[in-house]
Amino acid sequence: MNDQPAALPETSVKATLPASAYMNSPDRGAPPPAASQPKPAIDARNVNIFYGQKHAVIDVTLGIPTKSVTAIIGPSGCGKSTFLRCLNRLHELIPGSRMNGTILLNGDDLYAPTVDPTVVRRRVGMVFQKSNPFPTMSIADNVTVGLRLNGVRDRAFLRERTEDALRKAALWDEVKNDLGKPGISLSGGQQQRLCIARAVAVQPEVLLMDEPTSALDPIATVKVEELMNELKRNFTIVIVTHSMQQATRVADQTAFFYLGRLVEYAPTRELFNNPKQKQTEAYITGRFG
Amino acid sequence: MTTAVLDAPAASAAQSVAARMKPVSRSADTLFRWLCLGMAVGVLALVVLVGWQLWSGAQSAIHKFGVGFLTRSAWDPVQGEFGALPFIYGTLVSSLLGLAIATPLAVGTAIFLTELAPNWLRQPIAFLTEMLAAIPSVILGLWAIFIMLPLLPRYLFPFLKKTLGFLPLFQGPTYSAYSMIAAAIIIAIMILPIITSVSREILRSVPDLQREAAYGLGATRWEVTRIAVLSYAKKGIFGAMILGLGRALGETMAVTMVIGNTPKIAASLFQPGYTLASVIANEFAEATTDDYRNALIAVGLVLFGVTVVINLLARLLLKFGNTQTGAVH
Repeated sequence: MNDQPAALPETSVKATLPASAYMNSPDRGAPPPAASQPKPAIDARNVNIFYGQKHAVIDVTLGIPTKSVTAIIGPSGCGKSTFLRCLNRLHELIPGSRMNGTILLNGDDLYAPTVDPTVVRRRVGMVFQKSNPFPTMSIADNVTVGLRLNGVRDRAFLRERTEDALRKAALWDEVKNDLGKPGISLSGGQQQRLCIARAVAVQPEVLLMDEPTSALDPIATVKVEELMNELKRNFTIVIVTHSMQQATRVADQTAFFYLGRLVEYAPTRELFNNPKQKQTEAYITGRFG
Repeated sequence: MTTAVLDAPAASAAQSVAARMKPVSRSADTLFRWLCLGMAVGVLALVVLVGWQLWSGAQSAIHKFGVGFLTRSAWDPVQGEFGALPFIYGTLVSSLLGLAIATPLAVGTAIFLTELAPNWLRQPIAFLTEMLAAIPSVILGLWAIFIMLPLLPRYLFPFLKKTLGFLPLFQGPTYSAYSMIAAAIIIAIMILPIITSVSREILRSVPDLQREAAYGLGATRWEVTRIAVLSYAKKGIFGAMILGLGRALGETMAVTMVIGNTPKIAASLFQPGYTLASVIANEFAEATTDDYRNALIAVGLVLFGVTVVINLLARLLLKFGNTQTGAVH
């Protein structure tokens, strides 16, 4: 997108993040990146996703800066979850799905013909809308299952990783005496944090969260949101959310999707206080969606 | 003031709607309740009645032969000797062996149908598996006599002798194909459909979220099936096996046609045997003495008892397994 003319108004220059990190679709225009700016963790270019005849994501180009929280908002059916899932190739599980475009993860093409999707998913972890610990596994086993899938057998190392992951998920103090209990004996909010621990235990480069608090009560939601602020020191986080308040609370930058297209992408405060696009403004002021 | 004007027609409309409605009647509800209760009680009564009928029919045999009926292995109607042990042994061994053959096939098919097969292939295969259940028992028996039995001494028996011959189960002469193994294979074929279709339903009921959780961690298809699907579904699959076992225990016609009908307990599975169901079917018509008839009714009671005990044991096992893993379903 280097050949795109700078079309954003002055305010975007004051953004806390390098402009190149949130490149807009070509038709929206994006400023040329400065030479010193860091590379984005995820660099999606001209991504199109189809389910059979349905064109779910249309020509999305988006850079996700490393070690920050990026929120994707938009009304139901706008393609935001589909886009999130194509970042770890999970959308491929749905028969009839096709994707074209390029997605680079720290420079590696995730869709190169030689790349195994299971390897992609080991580098890009995911937390789902509903907590889904494995019901037959203990809390500790739930945390280490990803490591064990990768052939880690060293018990001492697994114990160490269990504690580390549970601490990162702010769950250690609540469960440290019950590690042998089944994962589903925990409360809903604890289960979701257990799923976060399970995802971070394999130390992914990016953590995807698909409406991670939509099934949680307000107190558990606050805990998960605080956790995101902690986690972004170590991980790059992409979160899809229905709640605009949540986006303003957790996200450094926010992307607004509508009808499969990326409408606007800017630092969160800017997107909500000073939206450039009419559709964005209509959505955030509650006129549709 | 305006509201009063607006309210008046609304109120009268509500009145006329209420006037047109029938008063609430509980009679249909009551009838429905009693009808359903009656049907449920009817089914229960049927089980109790069958059990009682068998019990009372077997009374004279029980008095005459005592508990020894269950432990004696001589069955000689001419001499008036009646012991049910060979039949109990034959029923348990052929059924359990049949279950052991059928379970991997059925669970494998169910996994293929829910996890691996392309969509267009799922319906046809599921349909064909269920068609297997529609084949009459006697037809399967005929197929076994003409097609399966000749192949056993030629291929299967030598192979088993060579690979597992160190076990007493697979030793001894193999001149006849009528054997416990033949019965187990035919039982396996007959219980395959029920185990497959129940397992398939169980696997389909595993939430996709579980699969996604595993895929999201970078699991391969096999790993997803192992950690997310099978471990979630194992109790249900055990239940499917018990359903299959229940069928196997009572399987009569096809088993009678291939098991050899010899009331002896042989260590070798190559030897013929006899089952509780087969002996009733074979000998009831020719049971000339009262003792003989009563002994056969007592065999029926034993079969009833074996089925009940196995089902109870399975339930206990399921319950025991529950407390072990602490899972909530």
